Amino acid sequence: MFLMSLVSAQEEIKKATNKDKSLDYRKMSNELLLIRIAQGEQDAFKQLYENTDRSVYSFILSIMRNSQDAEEIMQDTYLKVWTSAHLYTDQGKALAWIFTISRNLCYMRLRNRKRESDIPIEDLELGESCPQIENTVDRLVLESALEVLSEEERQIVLLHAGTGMKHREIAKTLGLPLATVLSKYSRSIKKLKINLSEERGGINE
Amino acid sequence: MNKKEIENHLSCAMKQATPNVLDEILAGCHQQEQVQSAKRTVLKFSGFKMTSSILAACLVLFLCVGGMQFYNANYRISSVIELDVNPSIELSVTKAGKVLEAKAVNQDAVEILDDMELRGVEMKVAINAIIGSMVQHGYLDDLDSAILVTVSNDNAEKAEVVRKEVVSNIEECLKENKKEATIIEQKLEKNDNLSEIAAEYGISSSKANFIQKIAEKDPSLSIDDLALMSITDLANLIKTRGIDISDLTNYENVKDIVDSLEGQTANTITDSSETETEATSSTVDTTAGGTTQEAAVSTTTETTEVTEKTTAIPESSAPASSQDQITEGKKIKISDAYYKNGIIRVEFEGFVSWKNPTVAVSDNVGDTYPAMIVEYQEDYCDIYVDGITHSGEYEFTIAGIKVKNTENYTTVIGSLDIYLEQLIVLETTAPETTPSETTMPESTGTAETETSEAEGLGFKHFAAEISTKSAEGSIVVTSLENTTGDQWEIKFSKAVDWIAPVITVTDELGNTYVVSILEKNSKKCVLAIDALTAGHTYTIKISGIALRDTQKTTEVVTFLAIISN
Repeated sequence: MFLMSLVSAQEEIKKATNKDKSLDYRKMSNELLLIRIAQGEQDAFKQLYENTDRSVYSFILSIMRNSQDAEEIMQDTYLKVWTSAHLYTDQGKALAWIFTISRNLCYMRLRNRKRESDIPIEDLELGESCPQIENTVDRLVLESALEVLSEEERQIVLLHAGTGMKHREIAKTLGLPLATVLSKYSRSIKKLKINLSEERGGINE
Repeated sequence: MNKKEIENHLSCAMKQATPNVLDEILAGCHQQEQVQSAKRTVLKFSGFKMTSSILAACLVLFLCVGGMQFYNANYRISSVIELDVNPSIELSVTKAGKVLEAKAVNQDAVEILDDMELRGVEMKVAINAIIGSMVQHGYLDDLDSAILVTVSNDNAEKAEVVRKEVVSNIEECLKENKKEATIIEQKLEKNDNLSEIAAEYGISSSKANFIQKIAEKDPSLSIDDLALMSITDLANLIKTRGIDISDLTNYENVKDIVDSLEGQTANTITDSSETETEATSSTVDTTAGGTTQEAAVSTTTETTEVTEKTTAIPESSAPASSQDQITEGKKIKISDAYYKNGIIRVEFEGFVSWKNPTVAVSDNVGDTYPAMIVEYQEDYCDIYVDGITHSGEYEFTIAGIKVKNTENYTTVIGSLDIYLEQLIVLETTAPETTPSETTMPESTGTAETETSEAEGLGFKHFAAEISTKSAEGSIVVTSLENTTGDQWEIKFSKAVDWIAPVITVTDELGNTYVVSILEKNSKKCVLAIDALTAGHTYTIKISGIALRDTQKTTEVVTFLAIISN
């Protein structure tokens, strides 16, 4: 009887500890999560994914301009994060580190594609960018952003408007001055407005 | 469609577009771990199998083609030795240890080999000559110099023997020349991709192998950047990032790298490569804080000289477009250029070297401005420009710059849009305003035309009127709203014209804040103000604004108290 109660008490403690652990992960910064991932903790990895998936996907999509490529590179990025977390040196820039990995993967793929097709990267036809978006207007606006903006503008716009990252965070993560981020964002929105009104005009005609 | 709608659509689009691939990733992680553990087992086995096969093959070869031995020993390439510092040299050596060919892989190596005739000489003599020449050319002057030694031979054991011999020869030679360098011995794994990378970047296949392995181990590093670095820089990088290269090189030497670099203060790629910057800083102030008036005055003659040079630049490199990022010049790419507080910061893609850099700045009308480079590093430079008083497109021409590790210095032209409204404080413009009184609402009460409190947002807005005392009346801020994050929308009582808008935000202690106009029209403007915190009252001053069709600029001041974040 005593043994049984001891076992059940131990289980409860275990459960509670597990619960605490999962709670802890939610409270942890991305930097701390990376340190845990380096020690092989999968829960930390899951939490990091949850924290960063939208930003990472937006960042990759802003370079690749194609959802299929972006999805594959997103997977590769997180795999690299899992295998290389031990190389991360904590400078409070975990997301910037992940972005660097994904940027390298993107450029590698674009380079390979260029080698195969002999067409300059910027001229490569990208087809339908995001067919999975059901709402037509949402898709139109995103496609317009991917089409008319420069790579850096796309990054700033998708990270701010698409994922809710603050300008300050974007500046820190992309290593740009805040004033540049602000002015580029403002200019990009203007470009989008013009492009969308033209498109609408074209449709109306 | 307005700005808010665009933002909402983008937010919804990204919500829908972001895939959930966590399960696939986790499966991939698991699979990768399994493959790696399997690889380790296979490697152990195949290593033994391969060694025995090579030994058996050697035995058969020895019995069957004994007659060919003489030929092989003296006329057939047995080992290929590659020496990389920055000059990369490839030595093809016979079994008898004589050099069959000495090949310069890059331009630096051509200088090292000069007209040396190494064909037929003993390997030891050739290495002595090469290292001696490198010392003469100043490649091994730094205490943290590093040499990458790669030996390829079909026989792994033979390769090991040759490698040891080469290393001992180099060590001897360094001792004779009283130089110190870290020798990194590399095991070369043949890879189809290597020759492609080597050809693309103009580097040896051994260096290509080395950087490829480093990039694989630290995915945050790109081959593009690594290819531009010298072996010394790479050794520094390995140490500072703690990259384990024990499986690529002789383990003892990895420890040597760490030991030999232990005392250094360099902790980034940039720091380590500073030693390679060929800049002569005698004429240019390289301190970060060198943005003084004195600096501007002392550059007048220099600027004239640069302007002359600019005219000599062929039309093909003329500035283009109104975008703020222009890529001009041979291979040097500008990744960004922006203006802040009298300084134009130009950032480059990849690394550059400098030699007596000069700069010229002009506007789109062709007027030139006194300018000088006050700081230059391998990935950016700061240009001090004097006298910019209006927004518009400006062009800069930088001379005395080259892509790092290339031969010729060149000229880079770029242009950027300067928006003076981005400035925090603009002392030079004095709008034609009538004397005004700026008082905090708490102190007078009279200036407070409206007080609105939005508890949910945690801020309080005090709209204050600055009396223009003009017949046309005055502009009053009717509302100030926090739209999203750090964005604030200001509405005016009357239609306005924006003549030369300058907006400053200061707190009660006089600290200024970065502010940018995101949107402006006759009724309102949207500002992005950085780093406002709770517990402070901020003064927002808008100048260069006029009542519609009056053309008389005035100032509008309003106050904002942040109660909670």
